[in-house]
Amino acid sequence: MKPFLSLVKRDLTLGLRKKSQIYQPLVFQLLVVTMFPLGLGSGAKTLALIAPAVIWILALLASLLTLDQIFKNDYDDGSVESYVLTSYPLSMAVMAKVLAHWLLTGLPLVLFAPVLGVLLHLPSSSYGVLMLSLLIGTPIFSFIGSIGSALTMSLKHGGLLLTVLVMPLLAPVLIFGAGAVVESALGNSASQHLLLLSGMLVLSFTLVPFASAAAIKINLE
Amino acid sequence: MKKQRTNAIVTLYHKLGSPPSFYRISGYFLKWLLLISIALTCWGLYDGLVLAPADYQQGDSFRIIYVHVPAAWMSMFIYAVMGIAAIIAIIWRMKVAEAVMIASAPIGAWFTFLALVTGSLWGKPMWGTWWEWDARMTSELILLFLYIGIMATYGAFSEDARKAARMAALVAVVGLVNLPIIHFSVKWWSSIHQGTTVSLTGESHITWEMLRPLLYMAFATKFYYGYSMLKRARLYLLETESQKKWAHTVITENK
Amino acid sequence: MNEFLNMGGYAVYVWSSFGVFFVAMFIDFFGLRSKEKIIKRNIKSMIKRKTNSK
Repeated sequence: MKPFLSLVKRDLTLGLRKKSQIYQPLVFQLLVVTMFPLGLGSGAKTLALIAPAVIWILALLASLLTLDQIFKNDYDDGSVESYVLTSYPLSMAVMAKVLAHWLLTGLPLVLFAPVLGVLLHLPSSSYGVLMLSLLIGTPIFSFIGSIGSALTMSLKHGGLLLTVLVMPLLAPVLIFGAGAVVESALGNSASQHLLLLSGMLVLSFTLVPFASAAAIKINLE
Repeated sequence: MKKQRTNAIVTLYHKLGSPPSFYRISGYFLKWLLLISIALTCWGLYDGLVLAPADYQQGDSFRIIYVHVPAAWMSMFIYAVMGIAAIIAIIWRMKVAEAVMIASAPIGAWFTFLALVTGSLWGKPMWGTWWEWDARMTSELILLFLYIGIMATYGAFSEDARKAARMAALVAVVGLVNLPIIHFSVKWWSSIHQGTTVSLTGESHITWEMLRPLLYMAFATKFYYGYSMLKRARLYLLETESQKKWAHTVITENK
Repeated sequence: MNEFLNMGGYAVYVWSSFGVFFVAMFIDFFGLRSKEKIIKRNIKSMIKRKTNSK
């Protein structure tokens, strides 16, 4: 457990030192949300209708901005090789990287979502479900994204490839995440969506570290 | 007796696993696969476009089924073959499996693209719209994205074909695990967003005269896949083993 | 014959479906042939260079 925690701690200190990774996705979200009323008209009803989808898609796009960073920096400075060479299981190192990435980029997205909700006139009853669904959904972004990051870390311009690889895999997350918020905005129970979303989180928690570890090993060959 | 039989299978497995003998053995099949595919296509086209009666509800537009459905079947069949080959390529590092995997992607992507385009061309006269976000079309579109992702991964590491193929194989396996999840979530999603739920075949019963050309075309596409995949796999092996002696004999003796 | 080409009024959809299908197959087929030629030519010139340098 000790190497795990020290790896998380190392990533957190590095991430907190370079704050751009944390606030840039939020600024991006704010900018894009501003474009919606400008393009669509400021009618509260229209905005409320599209709010769940917009907030969820923005969370997806904002995390795509930082997903390549999960392994990229470590690949460039050579520390990825040290993860492979030590006796500590590589899949656990992946888990630590994903956790640190989520704490640095996913959690701020969850906490920032209500602001976007206010700007888009999201019905007040949906804020709890919005944050809960993002709390379950954004770690899945980081998990699935770690596969893409591990595959593209040795490429100079791997960003577009990462998007192409990760987006189709995240379609189900978007369906149930945005679906949960829509249901709650309509006054229905969102528990079914949230349960399915949790199922996906458990599945990616158990399977993805091995896939990412395999990708790292092939990439270092 | 039985033991000998399994031995024969084991030797066949080992033979197919080594690039030179795979190259040699697949060479015998290529011409026949192509010829059978062309013959079945000609037969299927004549049977489907001329002999089969028009559908009593959809008229002659139902004849699009003879390219649409085989393409849709192949899009999934090829992904399954590719996924299995990818698993073998990753676990046993078998070079021939890599070749089969990466050779399946382009032709699979073509069939997926065709299923979408012909589906759209069928949807316009039947549903009155080029595109409907129904479960099947949406899943097919995501399948196309997966194929594109596999080929893009292979293309991104072009300086090392073996590494590229193994990376692409990993993408294929991840996609294979995700496909059922994507399929069921999309199905569930479209059942909530009640759109126009018209099934393409409608209520019309398909008679033997209508089904027969479909089977011809389905087999024709399977044989063409065999041809295209084997040919590409052979080229992959030739390219990655171009330093080896067998590749040189193949090249020099060919002409 | 005209009636056959007309496809009961669905000519545009039916023929463009079959058209795009066979165009795609032809692109795959001929693309593969030219790829074969290029790869074989490359290996041939590589062999030549090797024997010349010997």
